[in-house]
Amino acid sequence: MDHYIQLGIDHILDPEGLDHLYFIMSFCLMYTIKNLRKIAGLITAFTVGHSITLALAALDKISVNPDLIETLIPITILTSCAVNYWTLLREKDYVVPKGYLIYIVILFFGLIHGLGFSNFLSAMLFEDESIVTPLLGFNIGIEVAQLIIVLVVLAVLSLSDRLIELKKTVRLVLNTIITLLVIQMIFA
Amino acid sequence: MKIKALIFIIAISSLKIINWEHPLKMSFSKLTISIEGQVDIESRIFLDDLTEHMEKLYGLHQADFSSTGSNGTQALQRYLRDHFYLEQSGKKLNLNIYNVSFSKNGLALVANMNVSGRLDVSKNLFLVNTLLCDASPMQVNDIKYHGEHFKLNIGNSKVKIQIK
Repeated sequence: MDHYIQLGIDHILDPEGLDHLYFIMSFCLMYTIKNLRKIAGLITAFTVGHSITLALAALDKISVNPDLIETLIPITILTSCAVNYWTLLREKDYVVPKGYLIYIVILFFGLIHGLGFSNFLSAMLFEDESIVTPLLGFNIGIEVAQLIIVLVVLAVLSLSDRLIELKKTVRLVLNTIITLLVIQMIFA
Repeated sequence: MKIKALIFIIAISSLKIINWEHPLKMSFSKLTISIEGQVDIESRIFLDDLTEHMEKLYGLHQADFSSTGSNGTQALQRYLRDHFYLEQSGKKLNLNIYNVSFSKNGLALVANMNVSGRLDVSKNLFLVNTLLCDASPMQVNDIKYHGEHFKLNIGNSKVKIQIK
């Protein structure tokens, strides 16, 4: 089990496979450490989404073209960034987003990312290997990595908000970095 | 204004730090040794990385891994001589590919390999695996034997296997 947990962590934190990390960063950067409950809700929605499709795909209940999934994942990140721009630019100052539609959207995007996770898991499992332990371990690893990312992003933003008054500018810049990195990923 | 400029410069500079290689450089192999000393290895290697490297290394126009006789598989067979083999009592034991197929999602090549002859099950065995480490320094090759996992990479390419 430990082996698969580590693989799940490595999958998210691998410096050469940062798409899932960018997605988590993109929806975290609109909040602060004071919004932990909201962040927890969003992470839960993402976890529920990706767990569903990861399990279904790993158990061969659904099958989606891997190339289509690898195309959709950057689109989810860019969509998240686009929503961030809209939220940041419509107000004069930085305001924490409100509303519940975001939970549905994040859950839906989680479904797509789960299919991406399953591509890796399916490729590495041997035919005579039971799916249960690897699936559970891999998913746990993904959750651990997500928590690490969220804590780091919130800590950095918290520090930045204390040192720099331009909260909106910082978030616009970070959002732009993520957008450019993802665009570069698509066309690389 | 100065702070805005500084943030902008840091943001743009950060773009140059990131390495844009294809992610998740890993292969997975399962080693089985029978009581009589017969070796069987099943390796799962991400097809896109393997194809690109075999084409580059052996000058193939289009690497084909559809059968044991196809050009990609033959190239892989040659490649294994220097990158994936066993050692026992100072003797190198080359792996022979006897079957190739693809993972269900088509992303990985599944290569089944064995060794000519049998091992001495009373002696220690060493396994060397540097598959695709010459293509990327980030490559990690996982070997599973009797429920135990060994991770090999460019800095740690050899592992001692206690035959069970």
